[in-house]
Amino acid sequence: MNRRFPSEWGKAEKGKILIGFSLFLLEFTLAMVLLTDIAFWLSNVLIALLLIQAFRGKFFAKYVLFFSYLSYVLVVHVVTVYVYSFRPEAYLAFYWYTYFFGAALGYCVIWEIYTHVLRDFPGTARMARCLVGVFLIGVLGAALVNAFNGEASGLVKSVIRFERNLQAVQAILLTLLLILIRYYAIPLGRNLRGLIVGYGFLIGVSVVTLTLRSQFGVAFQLWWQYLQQSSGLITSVIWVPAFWVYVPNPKPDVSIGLDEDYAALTERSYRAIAKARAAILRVF
Amino acid sequence: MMFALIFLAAGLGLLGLLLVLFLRMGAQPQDRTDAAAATALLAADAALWAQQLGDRIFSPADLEFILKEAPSLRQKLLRERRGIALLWIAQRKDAARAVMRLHRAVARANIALNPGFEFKLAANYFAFLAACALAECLVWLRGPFASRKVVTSLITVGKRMRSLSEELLEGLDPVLLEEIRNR
Repeated sequence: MNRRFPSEWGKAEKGKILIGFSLFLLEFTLAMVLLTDIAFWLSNVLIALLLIQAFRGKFFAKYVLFFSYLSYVLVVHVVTVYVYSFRPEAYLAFYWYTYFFGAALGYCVIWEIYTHVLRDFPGTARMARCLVGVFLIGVLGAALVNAFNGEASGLVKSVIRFERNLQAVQAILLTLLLILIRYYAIPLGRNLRGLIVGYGFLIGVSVVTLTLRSQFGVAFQLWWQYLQQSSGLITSVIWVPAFWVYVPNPKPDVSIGLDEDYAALTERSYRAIAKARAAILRVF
Repeated sequence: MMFALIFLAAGLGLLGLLLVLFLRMGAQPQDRTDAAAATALLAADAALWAQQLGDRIFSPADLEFILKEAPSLRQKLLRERRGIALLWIAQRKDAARAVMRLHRAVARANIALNPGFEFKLAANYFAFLAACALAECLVWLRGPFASRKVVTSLITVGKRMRSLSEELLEGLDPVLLEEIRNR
């Protein structure tokens, strides 16, 4: 067999490979654009299905902020297609107005999640208020420092960085809540678990993709759109079975009680842990 | 670049936590804490008993006796004592976990919860878990009798470093020195 190494290929062979690779890239890009469109419309259909089920099952009011957010997203998506196709000159203004209102609704969803999770756990709610308070003071402080330093804020520097910052605050608020859920073993019902997992996934992917987009610029644009639409579809797929029927959250076990107040219990727990630690270290 | 890494960490951290939550979906939370058992563990005498047992397990007296009377049994003693030591450490961890489980189950529903106390208790608990992990590593690597010497040396070195730093600081303003000592 008369084989030739790549270094021995002629110009014609190298040209064929280059054309083949370019065609492959073009087909891949077209496929991604098509898949992006499919993901977009499929997620809208799932959101509509979920809203219909919420109305039929009469539990729209149980998670009113979340379902309002979904309704808003659905309406905006449909109107965006119309504006983009038939009124392109109005698209930019429409995008910004709807984006800010959508971001505010997103924060309302976070608030609703906190309310539902911590409703039956006033102690953990107090802990959450402390943690969230400290975090928001830190964010405000950082924003003020930037403002006084004269550095251009994320809003002015880059729209994408501003979006990223807004999403990142939501991501950290959700992270704090997840830590509290894990530490205090807060039981979650099916609806609430699905809501947290779905919304958390959406926010987490959004933060990552926006960060990469702001780092790599236009080169990442196509991947950004693809990942955005895919994450929206996956989130819808998580929410539909989670909210297909209304399942109330489990109530806490109230059989656990001690004949002493919280301060005394904490003191005894602290001393017990400290003695256990001393016992471990003492043997050395 | 650093800010980009921080944001990436925030996003990926959230996704990671969600994965943990998703994986534990099937496991029911241990709401039904045995209050009686955990209350017993809180009792002072339980901790004292644990301390006496630990002293006995890690005491070199048995090793010295075996080396004198039956040196051929040394390896067997080390092997079995290592197993007992690790079991004792695991029991301490289980005991602490039961205490914390009870505390968290009560505290989460108690409106009088004090965030400062909770942080202090959590820090103490995680420091305890770290001490257990260190103890287990040392027992695995060096055995229950030899590891005692290593940690004693570490504590001695730490004390020596502290006295050295105090000698160096003697040239400072006495008021400032007192302030540093009291930190």
